[in-house]
Amino acid sequence: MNIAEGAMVSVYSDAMAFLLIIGLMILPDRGHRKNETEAKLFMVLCFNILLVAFFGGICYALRGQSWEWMPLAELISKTVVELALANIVYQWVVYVDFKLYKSRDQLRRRYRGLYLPVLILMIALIVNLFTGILFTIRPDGGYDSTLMYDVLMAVEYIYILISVLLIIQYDRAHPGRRSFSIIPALVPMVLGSVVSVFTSYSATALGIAVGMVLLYFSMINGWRFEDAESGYYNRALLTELINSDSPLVDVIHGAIFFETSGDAGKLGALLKREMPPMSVIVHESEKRFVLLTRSGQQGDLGFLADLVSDASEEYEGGAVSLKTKCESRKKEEDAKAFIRRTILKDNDTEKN
Amino acid sequence: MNWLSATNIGTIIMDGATVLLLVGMMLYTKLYRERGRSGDKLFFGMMILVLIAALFDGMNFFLEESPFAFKGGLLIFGDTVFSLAYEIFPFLYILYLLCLRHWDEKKIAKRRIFFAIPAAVAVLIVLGNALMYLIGQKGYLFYIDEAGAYQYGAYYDIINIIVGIYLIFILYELCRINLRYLLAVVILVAARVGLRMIIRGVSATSFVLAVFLVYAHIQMMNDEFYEEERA
Repeated sequence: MNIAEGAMVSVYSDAMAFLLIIGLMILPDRGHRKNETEAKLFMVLCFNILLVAFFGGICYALRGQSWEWMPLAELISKTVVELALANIVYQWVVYVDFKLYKSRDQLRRRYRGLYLPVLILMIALIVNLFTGILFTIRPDGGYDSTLMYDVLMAVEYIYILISVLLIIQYDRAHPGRRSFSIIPALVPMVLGSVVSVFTSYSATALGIAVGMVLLYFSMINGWRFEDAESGYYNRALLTELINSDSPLVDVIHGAIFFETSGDAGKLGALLKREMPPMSVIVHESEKRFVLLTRSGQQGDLGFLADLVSDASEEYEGGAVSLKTKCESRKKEEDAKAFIRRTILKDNDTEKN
Repeated sequence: MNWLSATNIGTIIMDGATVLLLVGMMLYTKLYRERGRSGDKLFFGMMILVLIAALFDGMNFFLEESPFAFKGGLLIFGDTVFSLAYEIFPFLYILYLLCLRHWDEKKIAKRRIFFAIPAAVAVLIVLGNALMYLIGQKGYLFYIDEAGAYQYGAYYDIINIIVGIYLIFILYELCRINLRYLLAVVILVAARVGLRMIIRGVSATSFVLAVFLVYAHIQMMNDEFYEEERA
């Protein structure tokens, strides 16, 4: 099998992307994370990248071959690649939104409409198989595209733009609150696309695969601050806040301390429902939560504590009983000192 | 830069991807360096090695067919550094796997001498080849011919054989760690060897080494206790 020299580069880069994604799909072994929405969205993305890398590699390997069925095989391979790419950009926006807001309801509400352009693109690609309205395969390999193809492909870049806008919007509304970094993941993705657009070599799949690996690393880096069972932040976050220059410190000025003798899960759900979206809920120990808030005003903290106390009455038989403690934190150092005292107090309680 | 052939550009793309991957990994493995256990130091050492390998490999492929008069010495220097990194990497990797198996430090130290022998031999062979260039002799691993072109020597495969020896030990250790990890590495090695047979011109050695690190990192993060341990 003689592969043209230029095509070799693309085959190689697709093969490497395939190997990276295979590793991402078969190596993680975290039973409790497997069924989380984030993990599922991530896997869907990985599967689509696998398709792009595999069929993209086939596309390039077929170029220059003199087999009779080569144009048909290349047409099918390219169609699969384009279908998967369209799905990737849509899934990417969904994934970014979920990473930011962690809300499945929001996804259901907001993203049905956004699927429409991708659906049109997919239908056009399938129609193209029989009509050549988007691109046709040349007898010697490669393809000739139409203006309609370029216009529809531009839709994919709009999705990338939407994901960036989502992040900017989130950062403006919740400064310092974002718990994952997107830039290291986006850089290889963008560079891969740039190489593919401005040279005759395809590095799209490789760029996306490297970006996905970095995104996964960012994800597992963030897991150390999450309680695996409840999904809230854990005590490690408090330690991180007092030991490092975490940007969260900049937005935390108040803290409320909740204890329950009842069901901690119910208390957690209650806090999540009643508290402003910008507050940070830390499941600090088995029966205790610390709510970190943006306001350090006694009045605000008291109001929030009363809100939870009132809401807890909904539970039958007083399943949740609360003790509240409000502390006014106007300065970062005071907030750190409060968290430090909280941890020390908890250590003493455990010892006793 | 008209002198760059498609395969040279391909290698530079792969090395660029390696650098991006490693820089990203360094951002997300800051905790390892802060924790400073033997395994963490080994991991960091391997990242640095692969980064060096990628940079020098990229430089070599950039210069290989260039018209620059000074490229001869740089090519030999670059390939010597690359080969040293390529030979030392599997030695560190096998020690790292022993750390992943939670062996105690004394036990690893005993095995370290045994595992260091092939790497030490390889280092001597590579340095000997560089010495040949310095004294004006034709190298046995790689050399610059009279026309100023880079050539592989008659015994270039020695360095691959030594890495192959390590690979046997690595696969054995992987069998004892996790079969999925073993499967991923077997696919990686088989794909690399297969691609090398079909596509000769493109070098993705540094990238494959970086993928070894990616797999190792994912495997380590599978440890159920790891989240709490790090905190």
